[in-house]
Amino acid sequence: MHKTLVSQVSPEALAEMRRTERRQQINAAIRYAILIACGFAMIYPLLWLVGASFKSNREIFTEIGFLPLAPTFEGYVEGWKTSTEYTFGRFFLNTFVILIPKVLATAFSSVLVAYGFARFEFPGKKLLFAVLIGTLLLPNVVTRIPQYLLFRELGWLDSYLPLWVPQLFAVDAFFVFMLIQFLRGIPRDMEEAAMIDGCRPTQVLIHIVIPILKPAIISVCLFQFMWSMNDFLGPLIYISSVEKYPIALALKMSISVTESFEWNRILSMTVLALVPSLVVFFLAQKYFIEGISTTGLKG
Amino acid sequence: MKWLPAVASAVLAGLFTTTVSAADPVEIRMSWWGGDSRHKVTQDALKAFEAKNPGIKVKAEYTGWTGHLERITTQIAGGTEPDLMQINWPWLPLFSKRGDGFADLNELKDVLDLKQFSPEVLKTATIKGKLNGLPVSITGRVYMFNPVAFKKAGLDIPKSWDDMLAAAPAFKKVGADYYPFDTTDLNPWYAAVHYVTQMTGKSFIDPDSNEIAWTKDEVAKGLQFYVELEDKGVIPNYEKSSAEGGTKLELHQKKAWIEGKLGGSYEWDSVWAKFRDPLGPQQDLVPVKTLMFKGAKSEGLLRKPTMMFSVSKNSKHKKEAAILLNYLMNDPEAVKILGDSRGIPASKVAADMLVKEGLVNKQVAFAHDVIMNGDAPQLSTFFEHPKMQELYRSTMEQLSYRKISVKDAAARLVDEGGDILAKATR
Repeated sequence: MHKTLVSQVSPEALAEMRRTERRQQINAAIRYAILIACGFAMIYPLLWLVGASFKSNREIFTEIGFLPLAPTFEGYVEGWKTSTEYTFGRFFLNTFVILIPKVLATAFSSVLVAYGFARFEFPGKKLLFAVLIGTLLLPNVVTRIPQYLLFRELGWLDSYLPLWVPQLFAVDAFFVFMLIQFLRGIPRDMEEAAMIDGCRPTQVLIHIVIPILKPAIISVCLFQFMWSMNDFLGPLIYISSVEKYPIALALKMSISVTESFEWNRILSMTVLALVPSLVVFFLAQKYFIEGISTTGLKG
Repeated sequence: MKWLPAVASAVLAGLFTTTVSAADPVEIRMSWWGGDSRHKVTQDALKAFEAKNPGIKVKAEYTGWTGHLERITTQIAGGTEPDLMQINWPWLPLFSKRGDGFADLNELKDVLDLKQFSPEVLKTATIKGKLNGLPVSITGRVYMFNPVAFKKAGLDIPKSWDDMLAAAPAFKKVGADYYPFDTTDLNPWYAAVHYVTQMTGKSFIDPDSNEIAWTKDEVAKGLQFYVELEDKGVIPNYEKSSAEGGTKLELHQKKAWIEGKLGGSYEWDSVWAKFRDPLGPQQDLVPVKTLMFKGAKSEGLLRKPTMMFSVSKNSKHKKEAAILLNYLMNDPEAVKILGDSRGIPASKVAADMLVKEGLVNKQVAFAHDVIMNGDAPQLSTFFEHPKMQELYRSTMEQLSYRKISVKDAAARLVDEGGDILAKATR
């Protein structure tokens, strides 16, 4: 069938078709070449990081290529041991002990506050919302010392409480704002139907709103996870015992001004520290993208 | 009655344990920043201390360099700082403007052997008569050269500034990117400072009044000298350093340094190992006696304490903190463990012991001798104030790009520097 069709086409037309096809192929080849080149340039630092973690310390600064000439695991082995009395595993564990309650608390409190702002009318709502957005613009530095004093009075210093508890009060205005925008884009029909069927607001929240919000909640969790993973100042100020340090602090432990230090150890541990964020991101990627791209949609 | 001794010993043991728990060990906190090797040896020294002083337990709180100032600042603001702290010498005016920011160590003399420290050393940490900290080590700027780089140009390492100026053409013959001297970040400024200090015998900032001690003409002479170094190809200018990866990139991370394209530098003696290590076994880094300028009045060394140990003024256990401090500074056992992890100790007994035991690298010991035995005007704590450093940096950069004249740059350093000092000391 196909052959007879082709045979009916004149040779000129056939040649023209082939030309078009070839032009499209060349076109695609150029486009992909440019995209691959740009993509490679963007990912190069990451490749270099991984490559350099297998290099010796001297090779890191003298060779520009990312492939190590004499690959060695020394950086990983020595880096894992650390210069403290604990191994790096301890710092990984600490990081998750900080992270998991923090992420859960953030998700819980942000959803509750966002639901309130998006679905209820109450006196002073506009003012309170303005205050909320105001805290978004407030530089963290301003509140650092007063917060520190507060936690000192509560006797929470050198514990994880200053990192966990504030999250129960939806202190990250950005997340609340994000969820409100998401909720604004969703029609209220289903919630109204549920109300008519006799649902109370908490039931509406649990059975209707949270399932709809799922992608946005996952985005909130992911953002909080990655930001907390990289948070340096919080643990630096509140946690003084080495045994409680998270990764962000542990990575910088070896970096001093007057001593030379083994970059390959630090780079190796940095590679390991990236793994949890990457794994979590790729596991939840589908929801993550959906969560961001649908906030602010008009319903 | 066989059971009697058993009961008696049990009762005694019971009594004994209760007496011990009655005299619970005092827990003190100690903080420091550093790298891997310092962390390791300090922990070892603390263990040895606890074994020797069962009544005192030490909780170690250590971090890397990044963020340590922020952490200490917050802790001091909240009154929760550790009992014993490693404090950077330039931080002293930030925390103790009037000398009351830390405990006065003079009051702890009975447990702290201050006689091991020379009066000049103690003076650098004394504010309004109060000893705010004990300088751990003294450092100074020393000229260091890579003999292999000079050999490539067919020369020996320079013995005077004239040698250095004469070496520039020979280096250029080896390659366009070969220089007998390097200037990273603030080093151009330090070279200019050294020049003027040798000429005048005065420090840039008067240590007593904390005002600029040089006239604009004197500053201009130093800057003119710097411009001459650039013009004659002795040092790469800022434009070339930026192309090499930034003017702040330190020597040990510079490709040109590791490959022996740069002849030498003017650096704190405490960083010798850091810059020596990447040169590998084929090359070397040799500290030399201070290079003299023609017509110099004095050696004009830059000498300062690197860091100090301070005792918190809020501490409930000042005495125990001082006992620990004394152990770390003066006890032979601790000195042996700590080695030169914080530079060559300022304490006499410790420094003598390290040299005698051969625990100090010979070249480091030589560099340290150059600094300790030369004459150096006392340095103001404000010389390295962050805002002053910013001023030096931006002025030198503009001068190197020839955005301002030598005269304007000198005027700026004196006028704006004066303003900064006036504000900081108020």
